[in-house]
Amino acid sequence: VNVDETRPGRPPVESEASSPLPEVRWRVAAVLADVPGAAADAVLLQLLEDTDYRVREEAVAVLVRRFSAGIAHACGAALEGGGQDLGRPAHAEVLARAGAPGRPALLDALSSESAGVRLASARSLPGLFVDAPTVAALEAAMCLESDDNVRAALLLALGRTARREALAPLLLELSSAKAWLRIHAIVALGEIGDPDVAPRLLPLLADPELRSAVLVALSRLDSPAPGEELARRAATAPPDALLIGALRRSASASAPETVARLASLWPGARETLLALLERPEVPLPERTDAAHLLARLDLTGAAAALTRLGPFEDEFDALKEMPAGRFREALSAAGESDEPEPSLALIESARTAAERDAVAGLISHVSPLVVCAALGSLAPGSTSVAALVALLAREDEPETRRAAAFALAREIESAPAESARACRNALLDWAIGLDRPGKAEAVAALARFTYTAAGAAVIAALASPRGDVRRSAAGAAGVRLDVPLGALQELLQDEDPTVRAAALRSLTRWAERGEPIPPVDRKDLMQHLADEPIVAAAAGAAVVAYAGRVRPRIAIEMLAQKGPVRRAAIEEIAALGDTAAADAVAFALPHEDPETARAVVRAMAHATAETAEETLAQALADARPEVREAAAETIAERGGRAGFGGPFADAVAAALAVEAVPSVVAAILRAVAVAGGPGSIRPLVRILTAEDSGEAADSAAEALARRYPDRVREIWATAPPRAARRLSKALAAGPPHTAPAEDLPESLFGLLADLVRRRTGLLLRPGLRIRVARSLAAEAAEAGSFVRLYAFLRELPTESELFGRLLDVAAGRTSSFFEDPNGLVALAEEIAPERLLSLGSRETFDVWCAGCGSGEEAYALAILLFEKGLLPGQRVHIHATDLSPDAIRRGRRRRYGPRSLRAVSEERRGRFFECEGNALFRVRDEVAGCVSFAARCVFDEPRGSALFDAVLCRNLLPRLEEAVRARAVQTLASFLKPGGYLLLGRHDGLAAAATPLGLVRLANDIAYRR
Amino acid sequence: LSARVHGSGARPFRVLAVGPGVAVRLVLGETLAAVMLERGRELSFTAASDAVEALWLFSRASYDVVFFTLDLAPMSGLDLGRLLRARPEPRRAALVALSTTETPETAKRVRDAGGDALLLVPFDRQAIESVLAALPASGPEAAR
Repeated sequence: VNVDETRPGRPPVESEASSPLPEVRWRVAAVLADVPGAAADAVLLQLLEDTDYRVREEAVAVLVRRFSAGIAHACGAALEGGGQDLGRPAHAEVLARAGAPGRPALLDALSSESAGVRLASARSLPGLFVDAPTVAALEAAMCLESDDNVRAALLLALGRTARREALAPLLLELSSAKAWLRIHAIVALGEIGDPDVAPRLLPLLADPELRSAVLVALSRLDSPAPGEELARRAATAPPDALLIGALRRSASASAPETVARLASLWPGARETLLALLERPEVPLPERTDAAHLLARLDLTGAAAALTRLGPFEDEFDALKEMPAGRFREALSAAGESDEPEPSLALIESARTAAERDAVAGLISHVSPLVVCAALGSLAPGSTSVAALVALLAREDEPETRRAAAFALAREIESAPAESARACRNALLDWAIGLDRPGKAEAVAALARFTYTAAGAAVIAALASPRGDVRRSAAGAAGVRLDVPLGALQELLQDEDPTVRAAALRSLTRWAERGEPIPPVDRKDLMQHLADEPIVAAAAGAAVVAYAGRVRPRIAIEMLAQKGPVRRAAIEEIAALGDTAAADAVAFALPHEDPETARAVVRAMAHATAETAEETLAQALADARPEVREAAAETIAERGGRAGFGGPFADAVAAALAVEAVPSVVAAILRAVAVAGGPGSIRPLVRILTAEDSGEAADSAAEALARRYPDRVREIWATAPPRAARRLSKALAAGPPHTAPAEDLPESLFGLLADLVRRRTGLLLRPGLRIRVARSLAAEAAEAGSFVRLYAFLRELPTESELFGRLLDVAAGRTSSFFEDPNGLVALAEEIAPERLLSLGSRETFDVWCAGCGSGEEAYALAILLFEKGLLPGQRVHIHATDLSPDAIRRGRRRRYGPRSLRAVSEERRGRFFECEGNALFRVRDEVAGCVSFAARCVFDEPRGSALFDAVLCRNLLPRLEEAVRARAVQTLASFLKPGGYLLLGRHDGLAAAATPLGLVRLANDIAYRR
Repeated sequence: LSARVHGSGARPFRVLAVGPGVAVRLVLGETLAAVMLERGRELSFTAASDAVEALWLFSRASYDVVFFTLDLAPMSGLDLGRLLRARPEPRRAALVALSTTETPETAKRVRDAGGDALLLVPFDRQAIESVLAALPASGPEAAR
């Protein structure tokens, strides 16, 4: 499609909108996103009525992005005249997705003479950020409405407002003569989520017509009230999924003594719930509810059953629901599984000293991920020195050695004297002794201790023949006073760039510590600005650190350097706390590199008040969300130390009012909690009352409770029930939670999550913060802090070992053989024969398993191809990739336990696996030979490498940020040979709809074909 | 959402509901369960939120009846009907469109897309029984 309408001889893009090819019309919609003007709007509006769903979807997405009053008017008008099945829903969708600007047109449509128009409008209302007048408008429309379908849609719209004002009309509808309307009102009451409604709904359980609707509503109330009645019902008749779901929610909201009573009211709970978990054909949401209920009711053997029968929708989070007294039992059950996820879930939930003490049992786990996380959580004195030393000596696991060394260092600081002495001696022995695995880690862990022997060990290690030992020593030197400057400077010429970088970082840390600054010639440092990126970045920071009085000028000069140097140099200003240099670089806020702009913003934490307020206000209005987020974080940091006020606080409130990116909203909320003015109350209340804002609403409640406690009661009185509960919780929580020292601050975890998201598209749920903190505790200690670790990770390539550690923690997923066999059968029985026939005798049938976990899916496909007679042979290649290097290592090891193999028949086990004892089985060579592995993200798959006949991507997309899912599908599709097939997961249809790929039905699955 | 009613041991009557919101799905599931209970059949009721998910499920299990709303998004109910009919099935599922209007034009478009019947919303038990009775022989009785 030609978008350059000025070029002679080319038809305008509009003319292609009527092409007979849907792919071309789709492309027109996509291209028009960048073409301004009413003419493009008109074409996009026309494409909303296209006969091909992909074209309509693309047109909706583009129109929402360029929404204007004109588009609102056109969509409103088209609702009246649009095609009943295609155009009308699409126009309503545009108005609904546009949020508040689209709402007036939808509300107007409620008074249309056509019931179809009123229905389309009611189904799309109320959209985001609902106010009281919208509820009133919906209620007024209800009063006038006689069509049962429209009335039902209005009831649900009232429910979606989640506002207390909507309760009255919904409760009134419970006395309607029509069950149809009563059911809709009950479901809507559940949406509002007011626990006070539970007593009104419970009696309706006796009505068979209403029972299911009542259970659905009760499961949304998070109220302990219905628990006993539901438990009695479960005891008298086999409970269905709805009853179990409602009981799970009620039990989760109940106090421990109430939960014990629920268990006593339902004596057969254990057998019923276990029977559900044992049946793989039961839908996963139902099994997840059963798993949580089993744990919450504290039923015998719950931990072992959950570990054996998981994962569930939320992997193994059900284990966290077990009462505190069962923690050791759960840990023991998790420890018996060779999978890391159950153990990691428990390590993440260990809070008390006793629980952290118990975690010590996991340091002998087979997975290094678990061992590192356990070592990062250990309570002092909870494990033997010998056990830690044994881990320090592990040859093939540097991450375990590092975690063990730093665990020994923590023991020196916190354990009883005798144990501390033993740990110190062990570390010194290892650091001073032979060059062997563990020496480098011991040297790094000793850095912080002032003993002469520790200093001697570090100094001696500077001259080690081993690069990893010299690197550790060079890094350790930065926190010591007894290392000769000359010895460190010598390492600036080391052959290993990581050693040179470590030496430069240590020189920088010496300068940061203050007077007397070592006599280092800045020119010696500057020669490294042209070194490898990791060295150049360290040199950039060092040059700024040693710039002395001319630092403001040098900092400005550094802005002309390459990215890694520039970023590290500007960040060093914040580390030094240099006000003059911070003021000097403020002008660089609009820098095109967002990371540089972000570094400038972070430097504002130390700038003069005038410069900081001006720059941060500008940054809050920056077009780049990461810059706005950094501004909010800096405001929170500055506000906490020095305070803000007056017009600046109002600017923060104004930014909150217009911000739409969730992560930035969360950051501004943190800023508002310390710096926002009275003008922030309104946007805070708006976020608090938005039904879909989740964690943002919690932060808003916290900000209101902290900043404006005197106004909270007044807000509480009119707030929707869920919002009122959030406010009560925030008030009850008291002063802000102080995280344990080892925990990663939320803002920094946000940066790490953002780094992972930008590199890979993967979303890190906030609950992973503690897991990341504990798993990377040793790495952070070696780097000096999590801030330094972040800066270091940012300059490392994604495929580096350290970045891989972060991805291991972030991307953890439990996989098993034949999880969803249909796609594999379609590949082996339908796609492979067709492709092999068309490829000819010389070509290979190439398959890419994207997001392969620990390899089960790839090997399962190889097994099926073997059974079909297509293997063994040279003409099949399966390329399996996953983000997590640990998962890929497990895939290459191809050794699996009972949980992974539970869907593998005895016959297949005997034919395709070798038993290795301890219930572990290894995939045989003849099957494994056609599978190769690589640890990488789908976006990093090298261009120019092989194309594939089929791409299998079943579990990855739902874990990616919504905005990048369509891009991921496009990337996967771009690696297909012509005519190749893409097979996706159950819920990936929407992402695929944003691409022009054609959907085809196979006998065993659906696929998208290039 | 999946509902089961334990019956006499005959093969379950398998229903796939595509698109209706929770409330309509509940009414449909409850009513079908009541009808099947009377007939001594177990009901297996599965829901899909959009047409692509429905196709994905349809590849993995056979269904006696697929109920779908016409205004699905992004792929419409009529597109779904055409795709479901695009391949021969070992046991042909009946396709029933859920619609808030019952005009000859709507009925024709449903038929053209491969649909077998149109169920007017809101519906009651009698309406569902009438629709089930009018379905082709591959419907519930043939599935026994």
